[in-house]
Amino acid sequence: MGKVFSIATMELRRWLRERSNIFFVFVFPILMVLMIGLMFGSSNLRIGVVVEPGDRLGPELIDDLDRQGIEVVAISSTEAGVTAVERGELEGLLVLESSGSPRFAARPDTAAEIGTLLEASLARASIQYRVADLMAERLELDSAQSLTIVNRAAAMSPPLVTVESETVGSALFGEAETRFDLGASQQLVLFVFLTSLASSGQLILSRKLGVIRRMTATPTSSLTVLLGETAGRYLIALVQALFIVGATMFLFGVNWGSLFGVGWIIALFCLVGTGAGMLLGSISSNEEQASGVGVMLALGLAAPGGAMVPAEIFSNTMRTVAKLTPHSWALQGLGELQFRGGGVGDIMAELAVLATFAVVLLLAATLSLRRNITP
Amino acid sequence: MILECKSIRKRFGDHTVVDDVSFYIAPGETYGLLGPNGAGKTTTISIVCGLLGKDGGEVLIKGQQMNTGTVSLRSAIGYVPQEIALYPELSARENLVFFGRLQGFKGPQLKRRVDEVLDVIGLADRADDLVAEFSGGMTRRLNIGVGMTHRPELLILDEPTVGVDPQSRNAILGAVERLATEGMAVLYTTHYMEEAERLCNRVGIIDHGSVIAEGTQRDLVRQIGQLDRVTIESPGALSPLVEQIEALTFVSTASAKEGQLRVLLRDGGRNLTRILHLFEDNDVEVRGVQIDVPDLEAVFLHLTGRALRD
Repeated sequence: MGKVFSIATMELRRWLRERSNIFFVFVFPILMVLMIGLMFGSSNLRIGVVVEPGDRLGPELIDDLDRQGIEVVAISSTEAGVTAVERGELEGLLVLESSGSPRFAARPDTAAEIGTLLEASLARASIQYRVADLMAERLELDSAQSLTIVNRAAAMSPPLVTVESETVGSALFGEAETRFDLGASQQLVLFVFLTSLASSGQLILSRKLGVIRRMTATPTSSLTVLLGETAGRYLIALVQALFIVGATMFLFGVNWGSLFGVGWIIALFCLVGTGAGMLLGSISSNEEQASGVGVMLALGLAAPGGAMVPAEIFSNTMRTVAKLTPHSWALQGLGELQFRGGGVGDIMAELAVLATFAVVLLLAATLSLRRNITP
Repeated sequence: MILECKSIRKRFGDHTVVDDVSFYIAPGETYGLLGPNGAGKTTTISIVCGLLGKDGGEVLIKGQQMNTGTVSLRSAIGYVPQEIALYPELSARENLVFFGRLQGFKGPQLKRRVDEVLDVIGLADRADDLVAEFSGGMTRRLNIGVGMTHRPELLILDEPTVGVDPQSRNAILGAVERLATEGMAVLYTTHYMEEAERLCNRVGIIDHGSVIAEGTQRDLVRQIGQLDRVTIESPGALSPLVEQIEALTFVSTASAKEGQLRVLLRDGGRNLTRILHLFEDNDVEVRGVQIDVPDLEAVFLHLTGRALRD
């Protein structure tokens, strides 16, 4: 096992020495997740609220905003809130003062949307105060007395209409927690496979240089060399996958769901990528050929597999075609974990299919490469 | 014997590339396989290292059968392939450490061996530089270094000086000479006869997959009955001397032409003084003397009718 580990870690080291790999493994996927998130992702609005002492609207307003699915963030001062809006940390800021009208701040591109939303919310939250104030003025009552009457009347009012709703079928898209969730899983699948296929060039170079042959001239069996080369490519795919998961969690707060389940999908999908990379590396005659075919294959499988656009918008025929790609099964499993709160038990079918892909590809690669290695 | 090859044969399709090749190497001996490109040297070496299966014959390393599946005996061999089989993205040290690990070394022992090898191949000061940044000569030296990291009993070098500058070639030959002096047996293939002459105790001349002659350089020259040639330049009258020189028992022929006297004789180095005495006795001035001893090139030419580099 020591020699297998030596060969594997040396392959990883070679991989990381290549500057272009650093960009394509560590920078490019994150940029893609960011771009897709910014362009297509949806997100809950975050509104900061500054409530000054003596203001009576605060609690009702916060309840109302919350009922609409808006994230309300308590802000200590107007200045801090304005800064947060300017930095894009909040979509809007509402300042509730004890005297005077409520004020709001938003960026020019969202000012109209935020303004309309807050005005409607303010109108709903303040209606009982307006009625109470009117009663106090017309009936010459105390303000507090009027408000109590209005609140009691509101509590006694029977609901005018009862609306009952029922959801039929499952949602086309699961419930994403952040705008980056979907893009992150797509890029994970796309880049793990792409990186695995790209690493085949390294294998071809080793063959061409005669290094693999030289390894077999040492007291190292062909099987050990084969296992080492396979483990090396698996390690590369694993580094790619773990980096995307870790970085998107840390940078964008992506919710991956059950990490145990994600771990299983990554472990098997990396094996699929490794098998594909090894097979490509063993049958290609040079790095250029492997690189061209690799990129074509990686993108050609990612597109129908749902790693570029969600498979949910495909036609039924295309969805059936997508099932022929390992990408589709990996994304289906990840979607179950991310958007539907599933666990390992819910993705057993996906794991079984990925394992089958991995076994078939690794077997084919081993047989093909063994012909190159074994005297 | 550290290595015994007995009647090994190898065919690729209808083409026989190694045909009944036999030779042996004793511990501490440097044996050269001299032959032109395509003669079967690399195939023979690949069979010896267990990298290629054979169709007949046997290879014994330290008396034990060596086959493609024999892994344990490989630690006795240090294989230096003709191509630069190194990782260009790694440093010299990393390459040595990696192959050292495959030889079973680890920890302080591995570090010590790597440092020793870096010293021997003269790359200690460039140990941590990437191989991709090395010159052709430096990569060749490292290529050899990797083969001797584990201090093998038999070092096999397949044309290790192909494409290197004269300075690096000299350094490589010097390193091989040192290893041989320290008792390492060496199997050295080349198509440069001067390298074989300088390094090898014995030489096997291989052509079209067969060893056509074997022995020390002197044995081989003797086998083909070649004579030394002495050329003496002089402004004086040489014709009168020709008859006197031809009368000497060790001289085969002598001729004078354009200020040069050419003599074919046995043991040119030893008998030259007697010829020069005749010049002195006849008061003929000598301006230059050259002795050409028959070399392996001449042997090869004699045996095959072709030059080594044809």
